[in-house]
Amino acid sequence: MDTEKLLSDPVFQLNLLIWMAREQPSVGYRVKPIFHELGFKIAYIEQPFRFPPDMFNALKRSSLNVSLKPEPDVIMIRSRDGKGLYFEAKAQSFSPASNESRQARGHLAACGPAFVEVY
Amino acid sequence: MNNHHRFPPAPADRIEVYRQFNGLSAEAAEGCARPKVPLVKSFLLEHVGRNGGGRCKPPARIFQHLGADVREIDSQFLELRFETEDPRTKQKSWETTGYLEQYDERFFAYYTTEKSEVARRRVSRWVQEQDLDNAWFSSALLQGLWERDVSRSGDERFGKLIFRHESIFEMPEDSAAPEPDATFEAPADDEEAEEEDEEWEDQEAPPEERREFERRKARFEMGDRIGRIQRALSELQRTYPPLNALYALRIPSQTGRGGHDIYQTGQLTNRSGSFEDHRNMLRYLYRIYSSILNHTEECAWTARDRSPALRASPGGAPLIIKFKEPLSLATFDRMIQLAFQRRNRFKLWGQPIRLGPGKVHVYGADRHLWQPINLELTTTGMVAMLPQNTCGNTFHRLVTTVQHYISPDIEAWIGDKPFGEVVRHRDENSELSNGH
Repeated sequence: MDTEKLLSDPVFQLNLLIWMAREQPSVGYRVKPIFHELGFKIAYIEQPFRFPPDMFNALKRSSLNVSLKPEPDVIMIRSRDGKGLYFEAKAQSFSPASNESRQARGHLAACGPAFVEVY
Repeated sequence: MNNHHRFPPAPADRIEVYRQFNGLSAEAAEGCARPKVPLVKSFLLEHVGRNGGGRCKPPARIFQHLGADVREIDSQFLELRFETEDPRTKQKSWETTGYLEQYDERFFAYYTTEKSEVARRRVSRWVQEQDLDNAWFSSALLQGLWERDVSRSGDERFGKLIFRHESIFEMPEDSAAPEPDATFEAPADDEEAEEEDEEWEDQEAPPEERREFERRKARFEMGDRIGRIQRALSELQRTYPPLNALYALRIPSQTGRGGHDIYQTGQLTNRSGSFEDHRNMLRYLYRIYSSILNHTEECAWTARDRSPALRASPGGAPLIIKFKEPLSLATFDRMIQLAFQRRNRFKLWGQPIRLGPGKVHVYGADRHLWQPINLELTTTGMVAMLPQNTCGNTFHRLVTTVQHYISPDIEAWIGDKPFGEVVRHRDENSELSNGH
């Protein structure tokens, strides 16, 4: 498999994220465990994000083309300060009219105040 | 079910608790598991410290005082362990009973998977102490949630409402004399008949209540498509007063199957497949309730400053409750005889002074906050004068209890403001999207 193809494979990207969050030996690792070193732990893999009720209603009322149940690939949380990381892996870019953009809007709405509220 | 399945062993962070509760919620929502999967339930608790005239205490201190072994998971999330006794072996051990999250200095949420009956009894013991009180979701508040949140969630979805009214003081019209068993004491909250998790059914009444002669005890459950309930509800409420005593309500989950059962004493039982969905709903209710309490206090204490008549009084605006169906004299007398005994559902203490038939003054105390409370009670209603700065929760407790045990169909005001208007208030800070 050529590198270009491998890098754009969502499963490879997910795998990479998982290794980046796992504890590894201090030398000789293949993937630097940057998230682990920063204190993040994997909270969920492919868990649907539940919007708080008032935000859910606001999005529904807006009649925007936005997913109300986005499913991020990985969520990481750092419990010491409650910070979180929200990941969605994509193989390629997409247009604003595509189905992916609907999901992307859902993901963007899920970050920020909604994320803080839910976790 | 083993306690280790109900709670994660020594969770390192709150996400481990969320994940465990998520798994249980998903299994319970599937509905096929045997043995039965415990439902996650939460209780919204109010810390009465500052508003009760005292100082706010950290939750760890409050629960240590209540006998808990408290372990901090993070700065706002605690694991609570209590000494429990195995019902079969009678052996005592320290077990996790649930987790406490501090929402702000006034409100805490207690999450547990203990059996509903056990959890309620536990919480009921806690709120007997001075530091904590239930959040009181009065019928008016539940009706507001029905109108604003449930009835708009889709006519074809299923909804559920429970109405409950127990006329514990009711006397037959022809029997003015107290029956021989006049030492009747209303059972404390922890002996109250409760709903089972699965069916929302009452347990059999305790024997002391069965000895009593028949009184009105209405328990009515409506489970149907939301549209059908909506079309029938107002007409039913007009013709049968106990249907105004809304006791519990199911809010359908917005993101999946199932929903959230809300009870008057601040309990929320999760019937959705997700713990986050459940917690989101509890936090949504917390914001609404917190906003309503602030508004209640504003109405009560600023009404005093606005009104020259009230300015001279030591209290704030009165709480006025009018019974739409007047009590008979016999019922009224029985209420006065029993409502101020040592243990009573109103958590009031005082010496009634009879001013005439069907009219009584009580200069008493709220046993929960140990603050003075002056009451005028008649067969058609009640006026309560609470001291300045009394916690708004007291108003909601009184209204909820009156509607549950004295008169199901009432009109209430705080000063000149209708109670229904007060509980429908949601200020801009109660909306998450406004950055609160």
